[in-house]
Amino acid sequence: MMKNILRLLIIVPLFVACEDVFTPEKENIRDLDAMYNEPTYAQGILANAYVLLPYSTSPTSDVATDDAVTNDISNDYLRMATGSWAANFNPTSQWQTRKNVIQYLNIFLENADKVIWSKDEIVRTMYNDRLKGEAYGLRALQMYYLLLAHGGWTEDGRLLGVPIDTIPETSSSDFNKPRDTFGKCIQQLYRDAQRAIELLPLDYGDITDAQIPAKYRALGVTVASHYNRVNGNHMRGRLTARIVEAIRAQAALLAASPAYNQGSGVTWEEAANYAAVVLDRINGTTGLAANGGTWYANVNEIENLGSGVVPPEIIWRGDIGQSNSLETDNFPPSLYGRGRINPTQNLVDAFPMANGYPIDNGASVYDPANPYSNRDPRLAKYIVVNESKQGPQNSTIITGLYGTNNDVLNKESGYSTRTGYYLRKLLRPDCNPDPQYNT
Amino acid sequence: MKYIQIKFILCGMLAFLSFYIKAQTFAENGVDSLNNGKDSLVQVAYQKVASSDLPGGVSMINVRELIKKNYYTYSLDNMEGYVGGWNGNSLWGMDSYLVLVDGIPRDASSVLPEEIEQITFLKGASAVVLYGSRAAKGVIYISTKKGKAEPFKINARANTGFHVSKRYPKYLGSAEYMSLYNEARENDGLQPLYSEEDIYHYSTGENPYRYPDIDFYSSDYLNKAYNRSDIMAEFTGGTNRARFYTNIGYARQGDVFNFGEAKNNYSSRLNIRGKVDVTFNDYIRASINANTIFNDSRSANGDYWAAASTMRPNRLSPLIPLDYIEENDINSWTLIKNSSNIIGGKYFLGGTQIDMTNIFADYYAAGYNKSTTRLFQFDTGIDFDLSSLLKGLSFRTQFAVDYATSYRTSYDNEYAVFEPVWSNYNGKDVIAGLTKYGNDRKPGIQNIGESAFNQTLDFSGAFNYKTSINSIHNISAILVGAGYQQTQSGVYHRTANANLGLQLDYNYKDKYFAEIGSALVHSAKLAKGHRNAFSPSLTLAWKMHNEDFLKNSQVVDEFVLSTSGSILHTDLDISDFYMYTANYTQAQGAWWGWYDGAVERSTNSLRGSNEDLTFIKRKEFSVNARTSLWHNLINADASFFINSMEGMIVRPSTVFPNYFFTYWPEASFIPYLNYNNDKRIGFDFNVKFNKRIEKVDLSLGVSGTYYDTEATQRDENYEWAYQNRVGHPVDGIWGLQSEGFFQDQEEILNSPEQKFGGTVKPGDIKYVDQNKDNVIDEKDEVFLGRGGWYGTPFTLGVNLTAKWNNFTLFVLGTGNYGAYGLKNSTYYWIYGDRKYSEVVRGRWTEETKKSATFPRLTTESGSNNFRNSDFWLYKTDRFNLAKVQLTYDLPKHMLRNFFLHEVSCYVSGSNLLTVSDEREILEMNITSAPQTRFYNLGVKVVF
Repeated sequence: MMKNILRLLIIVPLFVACEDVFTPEKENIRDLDAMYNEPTYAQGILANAYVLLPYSTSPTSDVATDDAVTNDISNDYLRMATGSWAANFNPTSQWQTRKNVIQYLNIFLENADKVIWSKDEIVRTMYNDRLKGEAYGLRALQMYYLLLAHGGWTEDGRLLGVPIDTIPETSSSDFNKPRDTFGKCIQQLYRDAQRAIELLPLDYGDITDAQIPAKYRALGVTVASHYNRVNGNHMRGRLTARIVEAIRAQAALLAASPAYNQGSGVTWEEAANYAAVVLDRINGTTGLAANGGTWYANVNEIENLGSGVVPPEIIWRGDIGQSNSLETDNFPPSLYGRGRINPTQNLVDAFPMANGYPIDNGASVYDPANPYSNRDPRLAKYIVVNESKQGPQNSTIITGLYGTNNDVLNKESGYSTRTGYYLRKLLRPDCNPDPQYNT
Repeated sequence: MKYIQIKFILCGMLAFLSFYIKAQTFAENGVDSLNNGKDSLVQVAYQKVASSDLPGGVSMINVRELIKKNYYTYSLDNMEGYVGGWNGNSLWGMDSYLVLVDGIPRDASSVLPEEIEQITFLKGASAVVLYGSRAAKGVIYISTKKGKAEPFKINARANTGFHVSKRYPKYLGSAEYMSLYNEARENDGLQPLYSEEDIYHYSTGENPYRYPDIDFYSSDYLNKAYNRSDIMAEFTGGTNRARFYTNIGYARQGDVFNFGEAKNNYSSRLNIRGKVDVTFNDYIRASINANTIFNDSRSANGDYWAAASTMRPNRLSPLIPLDYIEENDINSWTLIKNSSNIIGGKYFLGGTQIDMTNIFADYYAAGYNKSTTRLFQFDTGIDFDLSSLLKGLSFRTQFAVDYATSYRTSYDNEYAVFEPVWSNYNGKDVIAGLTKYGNDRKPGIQNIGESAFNQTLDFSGAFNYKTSINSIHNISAILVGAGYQQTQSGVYHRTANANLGLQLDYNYKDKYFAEIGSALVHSAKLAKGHRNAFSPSLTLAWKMHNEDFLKNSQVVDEFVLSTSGSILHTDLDISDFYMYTANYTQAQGAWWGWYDGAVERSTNSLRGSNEDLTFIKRKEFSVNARTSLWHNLINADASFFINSMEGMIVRPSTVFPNYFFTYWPEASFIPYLNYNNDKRIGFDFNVKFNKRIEKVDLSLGVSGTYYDTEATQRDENYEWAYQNRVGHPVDGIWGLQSEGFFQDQEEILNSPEQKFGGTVKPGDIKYVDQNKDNVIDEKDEVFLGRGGWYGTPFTLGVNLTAKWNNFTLFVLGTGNYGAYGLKNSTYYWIYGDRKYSEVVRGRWTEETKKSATFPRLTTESGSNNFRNSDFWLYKTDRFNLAKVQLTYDLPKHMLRNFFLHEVSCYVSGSNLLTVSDEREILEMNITSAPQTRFYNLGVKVVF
């Protein structure tokens, strides 16, 4: 009897599982050096820059300008526009995100040469070139947005940018570096852009043996399929030299603008030349698409886009997706939307007449009793004005006080327009946010 | 073994009626409940000590005696009314506590008060050192009843009672809301929204369907009271060989709603517990305990109380009579005929395009859900008397496995609502047309979700050695090894504790005591080589009543003074495993895609590395005194403590730039460090008076706990000294300091700019510029008061028992003082579309500017006014009359030859009264079910 109990006593504890009691349960903890043998892992470091691209898919900061307001009283930009912009409340800040991306890009550039992208040395070189080109180009993009949000003049007249980082920072780095000048930042941006343009192809696409670029032919690439593996169709959507040229032109325009050209060292001529590089590739302004102004609503064009292919108006686009959140946010309330972005009278008045003259000019035929007739066609394309049509059933939207539904000016807080106008640009009228259909 | 009637335990509940046991004669009117049993044993860490030997920092409640005069339902209810040190929230102001039921970490709600023998509060660090790391912030040890060697006895109890809501929030009616909303629009420079004519129609209440005015708290929807009943039976008995204890109970509670599916809301609990204690021979004893609890509840889909706090009274009429539809309106009648939600044959569901669902329609048409929980607990222990090896040595081992599972089943339906277009024919209101929104869908599928389970495994073994040399030197020792592991579904890592413990006690002639407690704690959450730590504790005590100068004192029966110092190591505040190692991962990366189909994930650093991450320490010094005076007239004990939690884990944001971490993707380069320190200082006391006056036995107990916290080290970098959290209480409320309202535009122009957004107008709150920089922003926030998050700074408990003849009156009161709260719920912070409560009647207007109590109304976000400041601060000081119970025990001589041995019946009321300046706020629940008073009638019989 005693023996049985003793036996039980000894055996029972062995059934007790001991995970996390003495030693921790295994977790997949990895370190940075895993990237040298795993190209996907290494590419993941670069992916941070793509995940945190600064572009937004809907109008956001427009509501902090004179162009539009939002009817959402808890919106950060509305708070900012009405006085609470402060050092510790800055919705326009790019500091944290951009510098974080630059940190990952620097880690990537420091280690990319050691990564075994491919067992074939030549293919490895092509991958390395392209991925490093992407990293340099994206670093130029981060610098552009940092200068946009945080560049400025000091009290004593110097034009400063941000501290330039080209190597990754560690926990023991000195973080108290002063800002570099705006001019130096622009030069760093140009350098990064130049390196990117040299390393990246103009566009991604499958080529034939005859079209292999000279620098790779010199390395020994004879079969186009090796090149297509690195820079073929299936890479469309990633950064190309064409896109970097456009980023460079945008940055040059910022530096040459009246706000900064006294201190940046960039002239209008320089900005114009960089823009010309981009436009020359589509044969100048004659190459602009006729329906490019409504690129978001050209249904046939969108439906027939090939994988990664961009319509003529667009330089760089994200992946195709299906969603009606933009319409649910911005359609007038009678169409089951929330009417968020309300263009202001300022913006409406900025549209000239169809004959080209501004509305307050004597030569225009502006009629205050019919303010929306004979106007520049873009007014009707981009803004829902009183008595215009919107939505899948072409419903008439009445924002005047004689209206009867929630579309009326200031009718329902959080749904109705505050200005008398609703947004049309960027919305596809064939969407239906009615919860019964929700298409 | 044949006397172990195991089958009997399982079927005893069916068979008890056939038993008829001769009544033994008991002492006249039973146990004196005033006597706490000075020689009763108190459970402390791994041993039971006599109450005269209780170490400092430990308090005990004898629940078996308490339940005779105070029937209550949750094991830890109002315990601050009986002992000091526990303030309802924490032990000595620490921020968590461990509950052990019979030595195993379990939920306090899995034990019913009727099943409890005693509850021990192990408050001091010296009292919990043997339990290791996870007990470092205090332990509440609940000991359940065991069977005794006595004839078979059945103890049955039945209760029924009613919950009556204490107080409902008061919101404005439609007409008042609409006119005040117009005022808010005017304040913002907008045109009024509601016409005077509309407001007039709403105010007359002539047609509540066309001009709705919904009162969520009216008797149309809520009952005045709802019922709770329970019944319980306890079977005990046994011989010297085997003893058993069984408890079976069932409780059921209804709900306050009286319409729709919500009428059928209920929650119920069935529990079955069985314990067998077996003595095999002189050397071996064993016990087996099993407990199961079945919890079920049913509720209608939807949250009524949240809707009550947000839905404005004039939005819609939830039910509209069919009579209003015109007879000839074929379109409308067709719509209605096809609707499957005609309530009571008379009403259809109303709604609008913006409010397509509402809580009333939900309760009629959206279906219901049932929640089920099953709990199973099992533990077994074996005691070995090893006196044959070494006199005074014994060994106890215990093993437990608990398992709990829960899930929710629901039937979720959708419904259509109809918006009526009203018009007036011949002076009568009729519905001219209906618009349908939504669709009626009853899928009939039972959805199962929210399933979870958790499991606990516990093992311990303890050697206990007691010896005495010449009765002068008394030595005892405990050597223990224990560990447990708790698994939760959906959580990868388990909660675990493993430690060795050694305690050595020595006392000289029962006068001078010394105790060294120590533990070797092990934690798997730290890096290899850093996983063990040694926690020492030293206690010295002096029993002064055994000294010659006090031995024959008429005043002092007992006086013990003790002091202890300890350093406990704990990993309780280490929230996760592997926090010490750098970690790059792609497995949690954010997704990005190109080519409309190719995807990749980002690789991110989750943290920097710090291999030296170590335990958090609780360093404590305490002094305790316990005394009994004038032959048990007064029993008192008090403790003073000062402790410091050192080395709490932080990610130092002041040393690294903010771009070293991002919210999305969740990533960081910053390591974890041991840095923050907290200090706590306080005292607790417990005084009991027992006196017999004439024929009345009186017993009065007063207990209290006071604690103060201070942040002694923080990773922070504020510009101004007053902003520093260091030097202020850990549970502090921070906010702006206000100085009234802006009375006119001139005052606004002459004051610092308030940068919180929106346009500041007369009637907005004016704040104080602390740092004189002519700008009011977050830098002007100061410490406002203690929030009392670990219990109010001072907690008081008062209990009074009076026995006269066979009546026992028990009164319990608790008090909370010293903490502050913020009126920041939707009831007080009213702006935009929020529902207007009665507080807006005190709003600022030009006419009432001198006496206003609420800022000007606004339809904007009011971010200037609605932020933490002392304008919204209030004191939560209160005294509660928590319980009053009157019990009548039938005199024993009346039951002499009856089959019932004891009968007692009682009536009680709980949560009866709150005495406080801010009673209205404290008694009111805004987004959750209301607080209730509970009136109960019960009867207890013993067979």
